[in-house]
Amino acid sequence: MVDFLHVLGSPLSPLVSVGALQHWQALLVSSNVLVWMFIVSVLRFDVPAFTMWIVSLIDSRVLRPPGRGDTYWPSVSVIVAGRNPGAAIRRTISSVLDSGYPRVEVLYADDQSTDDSVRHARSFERSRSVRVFASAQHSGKPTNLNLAILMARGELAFVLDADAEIEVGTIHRLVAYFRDPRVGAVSANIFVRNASCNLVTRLQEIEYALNGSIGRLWHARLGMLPILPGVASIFRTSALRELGGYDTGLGDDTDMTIRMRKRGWRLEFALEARIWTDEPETMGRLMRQRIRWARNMVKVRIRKHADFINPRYGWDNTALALDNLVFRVTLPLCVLFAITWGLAVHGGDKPVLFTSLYFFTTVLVFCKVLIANDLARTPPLFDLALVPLYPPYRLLVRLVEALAILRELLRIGLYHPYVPRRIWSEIPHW
Amino acid sequence: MIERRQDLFRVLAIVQGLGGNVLPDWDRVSDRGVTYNARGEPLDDRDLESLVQSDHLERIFMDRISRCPWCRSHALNMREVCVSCKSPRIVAVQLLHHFRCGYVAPEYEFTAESDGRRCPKCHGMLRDRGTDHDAPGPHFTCQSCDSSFQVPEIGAVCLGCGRQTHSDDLQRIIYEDVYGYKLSPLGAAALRAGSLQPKQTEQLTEFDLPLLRRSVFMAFLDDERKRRRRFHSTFNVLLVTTEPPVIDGAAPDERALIETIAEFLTETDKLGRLDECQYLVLLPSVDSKTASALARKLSSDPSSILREWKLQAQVVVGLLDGAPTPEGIAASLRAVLADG
Ligand SMILES: [Zn+2]
Ligand SMILES: [Zn+2]
Ligand SMILES: [Zn+2]
Repeated sequence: MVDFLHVLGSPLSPLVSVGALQHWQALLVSSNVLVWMFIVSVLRFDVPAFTMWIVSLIDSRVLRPPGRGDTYWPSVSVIVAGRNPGAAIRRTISSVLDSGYPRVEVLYADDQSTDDSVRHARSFERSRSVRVFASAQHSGKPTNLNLAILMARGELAFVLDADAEIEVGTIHRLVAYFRDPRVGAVSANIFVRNASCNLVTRLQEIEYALNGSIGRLWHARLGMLPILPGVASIFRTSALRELGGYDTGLGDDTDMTIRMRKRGWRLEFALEARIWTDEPETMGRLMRQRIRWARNMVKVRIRKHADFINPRYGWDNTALALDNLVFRVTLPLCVLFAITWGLAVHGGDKPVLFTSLYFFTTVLVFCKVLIANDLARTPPLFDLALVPLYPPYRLLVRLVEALAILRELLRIGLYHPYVPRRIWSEIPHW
Repeated sequence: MIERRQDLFRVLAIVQGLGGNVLPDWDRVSDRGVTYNARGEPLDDRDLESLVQSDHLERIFMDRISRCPWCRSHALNMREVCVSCKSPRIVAVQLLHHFRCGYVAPEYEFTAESDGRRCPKCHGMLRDRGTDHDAPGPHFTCQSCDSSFQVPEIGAVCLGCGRQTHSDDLQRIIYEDVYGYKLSPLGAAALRAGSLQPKQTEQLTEFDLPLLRRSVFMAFLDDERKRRRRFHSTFNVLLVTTEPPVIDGAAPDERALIETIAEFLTETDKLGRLDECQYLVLLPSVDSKTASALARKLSSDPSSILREWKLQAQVVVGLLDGAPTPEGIAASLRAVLADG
């Protein structure tokens, strides 16, 4: 171990000197909170990813759906709800019609756009399998998804964001999982279309590869997929209808995932079913997005579906609920607390602790990027140059999320314009 | 040829006898679906169109007839059909949206109770539209294929040959405009003169006046517009309106007026008629400043004849830009006059 660290060379010499290593061991023994939290996170977030990779080397079938290459082609209704997507809706609809899937229709429910979105969508209506519903009122995304579900005639309903694009073959790869009658829904693999825009989008590209592609892959193979992203997930239409469609309110995709899981459906993840979407290009927008996600997580997972932890929904779901409670709520709050407290008490007198944690995190991220690139063909290898920036980026995101979780737990600033006011006053607030 | 002209003059006289205009009658057994009748006697629509070509009659848009693209029959039954299976067996359904749970379904799925309707998803009550539920918009379902959609397609079935037309083939349906006809100022002048304008195909002006026939004037105007698009040349148009002076008994002398206006123009300018007592002046290669100066000069000229006719001139070239056809130009100018 010491030899290995010596090989890494002089820039890291403060970290790899024998003295520092002893210091590191001393830290471990001293049961420093930060160190233990670090070890727990590695076990939870990194070890499964490495295991997944090793398993895939032994048997690559874990990466793909069973029965690949045959002609199992159930009819698919692509369901799009949008408000003011403008001309982007043309790209979305075209990408579906050109995806090469033989039995597909597109249903676009327009949430009373104030621009010319409806005109763009209707231009596909006459000659091809596209139908548009222009709502008379602004009712929010869940209602418009429900309208489109009502109109769907496919066995499967592929919920797609109004500014997402799919590839040739994406639908083929998604539907393959439905040969198994226990599978109720499949998540697609989301790629950042505007990754080349700037540093913020590049870092998100790495994040989507590590947490999205690789994270969801091993979760799904363990039967523990925690989310069917609203951007692109495909469902059995009958399952959606049995549930009465989406519930009104925030965090509709999380909510639908849990309701599907409660019904006992298996959820899958299709690594090779790529879809492309634009992600926030400024730090401000990105943080607002993450705050919304964190708050919705608390609303839906902690409050609305507090009973999800009950073993009557199956031990896998209990495990998932516990995992969420420990790693999505408690751990970020602990990190927030530990860092504030650590800085307040120790000030800057533990540089070795922080540099050590940073060093090991960076090495882990480096390895995971290589794994993600190997398994999911994302992120591109030149993103390796950005790996040193990734730990501070994630730390910032986690801290912002922790603050948002705290605010949501304290019910500060509950309202979000995602739900129109006239409906907000009618819905239960979890 | 002379006989043909006499026939047309007779038709023109009949139109005058009908009060200056002739309107179509619907007639489902005729070939075209409409006929033109003068007190029981049929008029040939080809004669009427021929008089339009020579500017003696003007068209009045009445309606549009659709014809089967396969057999040209006008007995085409157009109706709303399903977007998927093209069946006309579709029904409009009322959708309801429950705010509380987001459920959307046809009205009949929400069971009616004494104080409202009950939601099948959350078992809550729908009592007051707008407060706890609303109707997301019009909706149809097809009873043949169970498809549901918001905007039905149009489909046609021909009662003549029985063939269906829908989707892309809808563009092949033949549409024919149906017109009424009214006497034009030139037609009225021809009736007064006792014959159609001589040598109708070669003659460019109205009788012997320095006044271009309307179709000729519009052709010149169209040329100027094309030239401007291609070579960025400039031109201008004046609209001249007058009120005929009331001289007891005698018809006002339009000839003297037109000859006076013509004296103000150069040899490249063109004077044409828009309507009774309304004229257009086309000024090629003239900028708007010069055109306005000419308009002012015409409007304020002290000569007695122009004063008698209360002549007013204005620059209208800007109003013509939107109108693609001579008919459109005439219509947009008339709209200006009506406002004015
Ligand atoms: Zn309800
Ligand atoms: Zn149908
Ligand atoms: Zn026919």
